[in-house]
Amino acid sequence: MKFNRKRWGKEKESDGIAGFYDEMVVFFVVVISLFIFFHSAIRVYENYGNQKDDIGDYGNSERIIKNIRNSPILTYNGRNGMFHYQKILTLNHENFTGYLNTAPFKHYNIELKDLSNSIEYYNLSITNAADQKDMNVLEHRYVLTSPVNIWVDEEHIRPGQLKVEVWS
Amino acid sequence: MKVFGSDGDGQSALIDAMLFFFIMIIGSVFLNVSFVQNVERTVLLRDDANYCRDTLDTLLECTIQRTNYTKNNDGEFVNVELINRNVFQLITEDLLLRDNISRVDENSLVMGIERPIEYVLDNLTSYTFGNGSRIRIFHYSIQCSLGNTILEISDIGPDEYFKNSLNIFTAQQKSHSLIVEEEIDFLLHLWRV
Repeated sequence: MKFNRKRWGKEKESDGIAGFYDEMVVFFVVVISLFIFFHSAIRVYENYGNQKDDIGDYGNSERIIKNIRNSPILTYNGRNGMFHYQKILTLNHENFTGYLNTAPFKHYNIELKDLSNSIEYYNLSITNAADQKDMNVLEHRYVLTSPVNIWVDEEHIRPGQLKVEVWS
Repeated sequence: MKVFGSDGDGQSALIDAMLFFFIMIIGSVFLNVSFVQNVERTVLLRDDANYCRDTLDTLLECTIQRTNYTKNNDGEFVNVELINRNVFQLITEDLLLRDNISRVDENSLVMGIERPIEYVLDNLTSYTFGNGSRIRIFHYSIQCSLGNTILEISDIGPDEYFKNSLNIFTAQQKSHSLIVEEEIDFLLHLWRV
């Protein structure tokens, strides 16, 4: 039997190739869909990783503020969140660093505001940031506030607010 | 495709693919929106819950230099001054007086005792900058009860309170009062502005 190339080619052209090009479009749509989905899934995973790190750092900043609230260099009779006014007045960066471990953060800025309606205030502000450049770092910076008491004597216990900023 | 003599049968696969495409898009949007927001919310909620608990402890401990009210002694009005009392004692006194309200000028209780407590709470729920300016972080409502007498101090009205009922943080404390030999219930609610 003689092989009829032309006839064989026509059959291929009308069915096989047409089907192939139909499937090609479908193939591209599926590939693009999968690409979009996996791309966003990877981005979410990366974001989750970053946020997990942030939560870890946030946990560390929480630990630091809890330590300050309980620190014997500030508290009156070891009472949580009750700061002795004389200890506030004498506290500075040198004696504070010896007690407080701010790792993994490199810098800290601690402010205590006396919120009472008095003439004399017991405010505190200490930082280990060397200059304004250190102070202005915004990335990986965590700010936590906590209400505290300032003990002057049993009849004078003032409201105050502690602010702890830590960054690397 | 018509060049190759395609008929309409192959297009059903394309419709399936388009459907798949839209499902994938919806899936991607859902992943981005829900998952990331949940993590952020967890962190915020934990911080606010701690702040609420510490606010109640701080408030009850701190003293107010001068508060007063007007007592009604059978038609004779006497001004009573309370010096350096802590908020716990002041609230106890206020509740006791409200229990027998005919013997006291109610307005003097509001102005003389409850306003100074409100001032302390305003300060504790705001953030004060170095230059003295202040921004409010939380709204608050504190309910104190002794027996059937209830005292509520809030910075906004009850309508606003219920509008925000989803993100309210609560701290509760029961303290024994030596004056009345009874427990006083304190319930503080905070929610972000």
